[in-house]
Amino acid sequence: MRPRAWIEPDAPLLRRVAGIVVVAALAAVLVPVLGSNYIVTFSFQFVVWVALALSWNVFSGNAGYPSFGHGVFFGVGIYATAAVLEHTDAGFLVAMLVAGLAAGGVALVVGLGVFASPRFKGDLFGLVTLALAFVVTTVVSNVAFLDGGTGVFVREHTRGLWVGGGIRHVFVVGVALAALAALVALATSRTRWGTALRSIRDEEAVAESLGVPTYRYKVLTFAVSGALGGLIGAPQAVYLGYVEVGAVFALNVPLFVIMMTILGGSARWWGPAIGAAAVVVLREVLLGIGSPELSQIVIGVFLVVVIAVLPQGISGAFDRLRQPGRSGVRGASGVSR
Amino acid sequence: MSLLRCTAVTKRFGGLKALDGVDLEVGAGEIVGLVGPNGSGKTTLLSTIAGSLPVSGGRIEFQGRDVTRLSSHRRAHAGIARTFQIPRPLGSFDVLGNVATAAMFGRDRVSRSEAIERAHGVLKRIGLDGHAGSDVTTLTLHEHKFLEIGRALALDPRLILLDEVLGGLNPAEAAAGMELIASLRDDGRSVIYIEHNVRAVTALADRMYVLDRGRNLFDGTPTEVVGDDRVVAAYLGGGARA
Repeated sequence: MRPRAWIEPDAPLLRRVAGIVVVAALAAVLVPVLGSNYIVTFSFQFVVWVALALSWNVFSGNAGYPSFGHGVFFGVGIYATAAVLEHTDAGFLVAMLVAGLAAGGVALVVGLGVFASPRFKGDLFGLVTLALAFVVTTVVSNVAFLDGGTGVFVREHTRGLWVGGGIRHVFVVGVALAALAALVALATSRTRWGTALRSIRDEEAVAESLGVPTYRYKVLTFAVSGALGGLIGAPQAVYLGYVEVGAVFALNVPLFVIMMTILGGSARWWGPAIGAAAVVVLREVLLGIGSPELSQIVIGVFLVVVIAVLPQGISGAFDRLRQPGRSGVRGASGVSR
Repeated sequence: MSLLRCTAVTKRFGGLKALDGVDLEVGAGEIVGLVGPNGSGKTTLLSTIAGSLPVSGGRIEFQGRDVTRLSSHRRAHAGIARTFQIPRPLGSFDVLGNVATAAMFGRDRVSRSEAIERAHGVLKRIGLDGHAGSDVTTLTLHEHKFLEIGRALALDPRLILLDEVLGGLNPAEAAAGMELIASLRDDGRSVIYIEHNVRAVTALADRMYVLDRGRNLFDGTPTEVVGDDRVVAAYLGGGARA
């Protein structure tokens, strides 16, 4: 990959913000009006994965700290939403806010501890975030207020609410959150924030010596990434209707999110969204063959082929097409480094 | 008042004492040479001054302020910049971006456009202005070394720690490097300068420190150091007199 030139004029940035807002607004209006129930349901899952992949990349891709904990933040958001709706009369927006704060809070606490020691880098950081999944799963299963092992019927508590009015309403929330994730991802592209994160990914000790407060950036960005993951858990809780620990905290969430980011590439902020789109569409198409196992294998093979052919992912290949003659010189960005 | 004062700095790696009570002082606008055989603790001392390595004991003061426990980025903000012996460019950015990152996060917080402007100025000074948009992997060793100095310079530091920035360069490149280092002093900046090439150090340094197995062996003017029999016999070899 050719390193990104450092200079970014401000005008295209504003245009991109406007672009994200317009696309999201159009989707929020057109999909529920024109789409069948099937299309809207599919579109909801689509935007959830886009939001998850983009928010994972905000920290893990940009700073080079692959995390297996994104499913935890998503799950904490789902359970926080369920708990607020079950135990209080507060509306969905409050529940969503609590979901974001709870997941962001978990990420903040984990980050404050883990990043205090330079030992937890690379594989060890991945292991810690994996352990987090087991800890949180155990806690949620055993706290009666949250779950206590019986699961929560969210559906019963959303009947009178706007968001409980069907998949079309849930989709609108999902699109808004995907747009928010995209805006945050854009804010970490070629900005002061993004420069700090990328310098951490490249050479953390050098970044420090150049005046970058690496600890602060890692802790806060991890918290932002976790909060976004938690926020998207709110509409997911409503969509699921019934939440239980085994399904919510399954490891397929972080694994899919990492796969999507590798596929899409983190050379560009929108890479993970493209990867999410590719996986979700492929999965839907493969439903037709009627064998979930076979479909998993096909997705796996697809991933391997893409990595072999496009080491920078789909967005990296896009860069190469735009700048012919500049072949890749560096390893896969973000995820593998 | 001295700009930097290290008192009894000690650094242990497990059972090994890499630094064992080292004292060092640098005045404003002074070039201080730091020499000694391999493993004498030169780079370790540099890293403790830059804050990249925490000390096990002792005290480091910069501009009269105790910075012993200060993180690396805070020392960069305070005015201490370092280079790395093996160049470590940021691969995500082009040459300009490497320097501009230092300018943006350096002593005073500046905007991106201001950082880019400063970075262009620095690139011109180190002779890399033709490479602003280049991929760092296309640079030669000499350009890599100069980029290290450029990045440090972009922090607008009061003290620059140079770790073998001339190592491996041909005579013409080394001469250009020495001129650049001398010009840092003309800016009013102080320099601590590690180099294997003792002749380069003696030509530039106002004073020199000789380390041996993590301890101070000798310090004085270059003439005194080169003339000291212990230093010459044990560490500099006969070639140093030539």
